[in-house]
Amino acid sequence: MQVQQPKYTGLVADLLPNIRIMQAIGHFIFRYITGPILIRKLYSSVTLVLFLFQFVCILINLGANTDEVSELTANTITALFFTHCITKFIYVALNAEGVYRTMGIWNQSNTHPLFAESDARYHSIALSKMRRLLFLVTLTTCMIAVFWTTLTFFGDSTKLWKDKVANETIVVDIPRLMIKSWYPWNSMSGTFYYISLAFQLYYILFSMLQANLSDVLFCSWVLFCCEQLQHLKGIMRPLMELSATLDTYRPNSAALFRSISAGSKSELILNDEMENEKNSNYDMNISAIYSTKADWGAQYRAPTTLQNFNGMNGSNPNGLTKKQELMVRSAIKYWVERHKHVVRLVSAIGDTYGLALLLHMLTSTIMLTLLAYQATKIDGITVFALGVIGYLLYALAQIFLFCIFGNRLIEESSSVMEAAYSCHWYDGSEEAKTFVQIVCQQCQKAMTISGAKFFTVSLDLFASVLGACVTYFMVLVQLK
Amino acid sequence: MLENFVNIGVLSVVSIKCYLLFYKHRVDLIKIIAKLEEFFPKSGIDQKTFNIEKHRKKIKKFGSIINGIYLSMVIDFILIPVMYKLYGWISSYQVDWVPVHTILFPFDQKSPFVFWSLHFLYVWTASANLLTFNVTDLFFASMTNVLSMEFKILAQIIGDIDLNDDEKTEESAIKELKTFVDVHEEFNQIALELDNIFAFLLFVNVFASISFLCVYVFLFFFGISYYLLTKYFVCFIGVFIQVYVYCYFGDRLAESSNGVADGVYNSAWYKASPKFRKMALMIMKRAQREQKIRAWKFADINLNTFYWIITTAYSYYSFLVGVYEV
Repeated sequence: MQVQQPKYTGLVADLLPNIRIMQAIGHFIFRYITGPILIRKLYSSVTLVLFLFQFVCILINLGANTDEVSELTANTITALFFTHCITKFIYVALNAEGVYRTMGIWNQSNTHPLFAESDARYHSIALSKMRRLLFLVTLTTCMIAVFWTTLTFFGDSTKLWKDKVANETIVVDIPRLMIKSWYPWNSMSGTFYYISLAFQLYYILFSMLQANLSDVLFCSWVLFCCEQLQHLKGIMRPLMELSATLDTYRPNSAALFRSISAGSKSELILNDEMENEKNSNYDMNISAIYSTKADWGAQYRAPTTLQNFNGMNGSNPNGLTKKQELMVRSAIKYWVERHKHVVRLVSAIGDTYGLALLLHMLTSTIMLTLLAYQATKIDGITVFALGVIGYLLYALAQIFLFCIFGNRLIEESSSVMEAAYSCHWYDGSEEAKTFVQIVCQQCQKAMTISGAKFFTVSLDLFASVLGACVTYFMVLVQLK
Repeated sequence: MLENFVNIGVLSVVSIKCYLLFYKHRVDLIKIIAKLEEFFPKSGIDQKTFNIEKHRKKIKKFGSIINGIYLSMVIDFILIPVMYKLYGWISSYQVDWVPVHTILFPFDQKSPFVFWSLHFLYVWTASANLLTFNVTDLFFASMTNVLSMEFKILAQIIGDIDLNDDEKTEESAIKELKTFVDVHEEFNQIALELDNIFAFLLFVNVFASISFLCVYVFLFFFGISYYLLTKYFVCFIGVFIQVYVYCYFGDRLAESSNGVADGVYNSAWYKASPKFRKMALMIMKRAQREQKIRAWKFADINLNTFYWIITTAYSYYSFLVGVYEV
């Protein structure tokens, strides 16, 4: 029997709270656990059966009330709302291997002693942001469930029913529940009413959490990639400084090796040097733009260990040891390999979750169209109005969540080129300069997440969805 | 109801702008102005070479147009009751003194003292609002104008770089290029900071402008207060010009930062060494990624956006007409 917890590394360790909550609410994720899998499989299957049962009940209710248009619309919107949850549930179940593979890509990453500090810093930033996102989304979902339940107890719990005999619309009483749904038992009053109420509360909370948490998983992956790109951008300048020591004389090379990867530009260069650089740049008048930089040599007392230009380190003007030279050459390799790792992770994310986003967008488009129609019937602050506005805001917020992270990834990946330009690349070795050129060429094409190749996830998508919604609303108002 | 919406909307947009520019980002603005001043060509010869006068004239032209519009707005507001009374006297109708806007006021608005003091109050607040609009627009316009001018100067300098076949000029050319890269990067950073400062402001401005444009046109054609026709017309022209100013200068900045790549190409690079050419390649690659002002991640501010704003405002206007006729 295993007594100690297995140690998870990499992306899995960062996302462990998210995974644990997902497993607790019934998602079909069976890795990263200790203990018997059979019970968990049983739990997930029971959850699936219960959710499908409730969903089918909603559909039966939809089918039974097709005569009256407003009832039809309202029921269709509810059905589409819960289609999201069922879709995400089944998608994660079928695509669990993809999820494991994506997590596994970042099990281990390459390290370099000079850049370890910057790596750790951006990693902790990513971790805190992911935790905060998870907390906010879970809290918001719980609050929405509470709000929905509270709203049920205001207003009349009735529906419109078209009486075919008298050919008029009458008002019929229905049970005061959150979702209009058919049940095989009579849920008007008594114990069955309370059972239905509790069941619906469980259903609403758990299915919304399921849908939102898989979106949060996706957003956390994208967030992690963005922070990795920030790390890469941050070490560009130290990298250039390092590679410059291979070719040209730098008096403070020892300082470079000592405190290298703090990540901020000013710490690498001793303070006096920074001042001089600043002065020489700023005393430009444009007609004499070619002012020379400060004279490097005599004012800085380089440590004696660097001053021996004897035959052993003949090719290197700064007198670096073999080990230091190797470190410099491997720094570029580290950068490129890390960048390739990030590209692999992004493509894995796109492959794993792209189809889910496509299905989400399809369902949302239909739902938003119907919501636009419902919105034209609002005539005051009623329960109906609050319900419609709530659905609308929720649907738009879901789309906004993954669009904003996709947009951030696009911006970060295409600004690597700007970071490469802003470090003093012209002072680097020839090797570093060609490295910068190839990097710039590659980073001109931004890394995007696409919804199974149909669209790219960015704020343009959100803007077009919003625009389409407004257009439908305006057209429907005119047709009224 | 729509008039009230527009009044409230204008007031809120003005207060957002005021807060953003003059409180939240006041330090950043001062820093940017200081940086821009450093690189501004100060000697007379430089100013002639780089044709500073042309850029100055452009901003002066825009400034005078904006000033003219806002001045005419204020005069129009003052004169609306007078003109209406005059119209009544000419056509021998019996007309009262009409207020330029309707507010809920506990005292009797018919008495002359109350009426004229309210009128004065309205004109005073309106001119203060319009002055803020004026200032913020011209702020944006002049800063982007100076930055575009500096990008153009950079392009001109690099185009005239001295390249011959001997080693002395080769060395100095490489040194020039290095300083050039530093200055270019400085300008890029300034453009990024400008983007940060104006992003949310422009976002609010774009959506507010669309709604104001369509409402003013709608009120002009379908409004019930005939005496306010001139007000709607002048306000519409004001919002229209304002949108155009933003889009024009945003477009100018993007274009001029792109022009640095053209400037590099215009130099005699074919005479230079491979080292120079590799550096020139990097500069061109960076310059072709233009520095643009965005309306908070949603859209770039250029003349395409201007077209989009006008067409969207028109479609909302036709929607309003449709609803009104129903």
